[in-house]
Amino acid sequence: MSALLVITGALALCLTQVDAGAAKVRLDDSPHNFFGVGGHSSLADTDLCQLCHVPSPLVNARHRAPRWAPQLGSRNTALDVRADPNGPPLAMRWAGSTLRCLSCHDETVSSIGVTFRPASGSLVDDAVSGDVRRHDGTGGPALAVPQWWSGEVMGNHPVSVPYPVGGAEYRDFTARATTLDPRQWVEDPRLNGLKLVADTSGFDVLRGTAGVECVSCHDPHGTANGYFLRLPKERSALCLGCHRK
Amino acid sequence: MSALLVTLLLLSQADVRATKHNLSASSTNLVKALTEDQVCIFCHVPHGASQSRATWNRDLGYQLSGSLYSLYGSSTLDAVPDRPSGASKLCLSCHDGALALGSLLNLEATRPSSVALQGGVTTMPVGPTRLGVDLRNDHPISLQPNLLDPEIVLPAAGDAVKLREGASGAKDSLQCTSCHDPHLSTPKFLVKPNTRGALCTTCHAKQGWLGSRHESSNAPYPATGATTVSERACMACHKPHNGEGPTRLLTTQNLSATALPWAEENVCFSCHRNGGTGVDPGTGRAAPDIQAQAAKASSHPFALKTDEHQPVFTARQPEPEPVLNVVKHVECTDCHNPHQVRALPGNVHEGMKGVSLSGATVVDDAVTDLKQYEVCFRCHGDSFATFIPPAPTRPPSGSNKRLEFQPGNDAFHPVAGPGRNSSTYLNNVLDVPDGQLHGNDASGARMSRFSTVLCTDCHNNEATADTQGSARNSPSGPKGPHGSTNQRMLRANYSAATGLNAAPFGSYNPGNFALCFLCHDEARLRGGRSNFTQAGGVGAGRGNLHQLHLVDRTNASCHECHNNVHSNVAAANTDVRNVAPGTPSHLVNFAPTVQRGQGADPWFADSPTRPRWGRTPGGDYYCFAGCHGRANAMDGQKSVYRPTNP
Repeated sequence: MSALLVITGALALCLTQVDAGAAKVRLDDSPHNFFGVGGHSSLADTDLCQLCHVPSPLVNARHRAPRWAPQLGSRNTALDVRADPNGPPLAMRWAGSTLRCLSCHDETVSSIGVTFRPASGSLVDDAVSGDVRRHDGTGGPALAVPQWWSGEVMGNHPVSVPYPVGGAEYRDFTARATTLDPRQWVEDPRLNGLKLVADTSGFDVLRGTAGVECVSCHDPHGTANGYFLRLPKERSALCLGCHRK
Repeated sequence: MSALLVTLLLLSQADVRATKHNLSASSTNLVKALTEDQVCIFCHVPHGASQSRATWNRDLGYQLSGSLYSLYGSSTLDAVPDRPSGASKLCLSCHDGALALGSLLNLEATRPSSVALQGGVTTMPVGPTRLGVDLRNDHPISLQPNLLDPEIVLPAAGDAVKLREGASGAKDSLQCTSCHDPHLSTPKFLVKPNTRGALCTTCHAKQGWLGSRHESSNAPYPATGATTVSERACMACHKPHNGEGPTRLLTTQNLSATALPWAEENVCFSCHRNGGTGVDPGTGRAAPDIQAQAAKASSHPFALKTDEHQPVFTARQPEPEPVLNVVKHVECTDCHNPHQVRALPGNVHEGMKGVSLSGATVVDDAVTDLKQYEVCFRCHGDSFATFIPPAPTRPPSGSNKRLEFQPGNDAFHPVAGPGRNSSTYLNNVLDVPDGQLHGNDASGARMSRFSTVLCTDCHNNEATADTQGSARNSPSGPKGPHGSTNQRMLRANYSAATGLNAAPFGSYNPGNFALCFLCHDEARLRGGRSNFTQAGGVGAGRGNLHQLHLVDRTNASCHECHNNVHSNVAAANTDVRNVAPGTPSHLVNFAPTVQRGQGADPWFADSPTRPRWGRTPGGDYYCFAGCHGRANAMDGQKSVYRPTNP
């Protein structure tokens, strides 16, 4: 029971205090409310969190494998990051919370699969029908799953990469890694309201608690800024929160 | 909290927002968006970019055409520029003027997208930053440095200049971003200042540059500006973009006045003109005004050709043009290496290449200084006919000076070695007070029979005629064979007229031979004795046959008997008799106008077809020429002269 209370409390926190800088924004007001932006279903099981989170000790999100998963053979190249479209692919490894984001935000998703729905009493996937586009406030395709997107990772900001906190020396994510110039990076973007997460990608992170994932820039629980951004894109404040350019 | 930090970020604008690359509506730039307020978005987008590294937000597909860009080329470039690759492609997507500045891959959820700019601007406005698709006048990019060129080095580790990703993805190429960081609020986005060429010399290790005149001159350039020649360094002559002279990216940008039209010499004339630079406080002189020299009646024809010249002072061989020149042209850099040149009395040919007396290529390096004549031989030696076709009107210049100045010849002006005339009368050393020479040689020593002279002791700016002896000793300038008001680019007047007994020879005028008299004391040639004497001779000179010929009798010219003053080698109109080869022959060779002697030679009873000079069977010098035997001239018998002190 106490565990349930803790979980409930955590979920409440999720709904009400998703971001210190955007406290007034709620998950249920965001496009991540898959039951209807701003609306609350009358169904008993409209648990907004369960689409991504399940209570411990149950396995925490047996995620759909992103289509970019390296074990999927022919799609391997889609997993590659290239410094140049004509250049050789660079291996990427997906890790951490980014896997959770990609479980929906690859080009394959048209419905939301969840692992655990208390009302069903089942641990098998229980599809919640719905096109992600329905969650786009403009009615058009959501940026995160653009209609032109081939499914290749190329063309996206790197994730699952370490960050040189405090000028920490590290090799960047390419195979030809060279030391990044610390002068080009904000010492600690967390002070600007961005998020760094424990890096589990296996890359050479000397201070291994400083990785860039999707959630570094996006708060999936909703922010006052568009696109779940942790900082406004106006005047590129978000970019300059990390990049000292 | 985060809002505060963002505010602080915005206040500290020493970043990309303070640059021309901030196209957001909130910037203070002239070229900016109407309403779009993002900064990075014009180049980068976090999702849907054309590639992951640097997440480019421009559709570069139009660059796939292999023929879109015209690439830089040069005969001295060892590396091979390739189609733009790496980050240069993104730079060019604005700077080639082909794609609208506001043409983006993504903006929010719209793809493709277009951002409207203020003032109706679409593509990059015409100006120096719009390079166009013709990259031939821009520093080559997307090339891997070729270290076979000894004057190319890679940036040191940690240097702000870096090799960047090339076509293979390896960081092995020079790209726009090697020199420019598009995010930096530095002048021209340079990764480090280029004062004194610091940026250029990161890769261009020009031999002999340090300490050279152009590296060390503190003359203000522009003349009224705050910078100096040494501070501008490479940029005084080169322009990494939009060079007026595409090959080797030369500039004729005249910072003191209007830009000069493209021609190699105008690169130099940007400074080497009247008022081109200010006065160097170190030397008290401004850059020598060579442009004025080139405009004189007789000059090296710098303007004859454009884009014909190739430099020979390359460190790598073979040189892009032969050191022995075969194509007629003359540019400043045919004689001077602008990266190494020193000012007089230093070596103005530092780092040049030339042709030696033996005809071999010789290099001026740290050990060996090039001899001046070795530079001249590049054109006035074995290939002279390419440049100065022999002509009856000017035989002395139409000859191979390399052959003429061989020290083993019978007679020559002592350019490549001391002369053959060992007469003490030629001396003016202290123990021979009545010697015939005066002035000092280029080394400052008194002119003597052991002296050598420079080509420029005769061929020089007429202003240097203010001093006896070598022109090097003149306080006037600019020195050098750039131009002269005298014919044949001579330092002083020298009349080459012959066969006349009229003006300019109606009466003796030393001005006709002013050039000779800079070294050869006129007073000795006239009043006193010379080594051309006849004991008990005729005329006022009484024994001084120079006096007799020049003044008393015929008003002859030096040029009639010393027709080619360089040497006797090409003395086509002289029959040298009874003088063993290699014997000093006193530079006697007759002008084409001098006729052969009439009748039979009284000493050898033959009838030479050319005017004769030589020795009698008894060893006396004599002439047998048309001058003698005609009216008012001596007969052949009297043509014998006996130098009293040969």
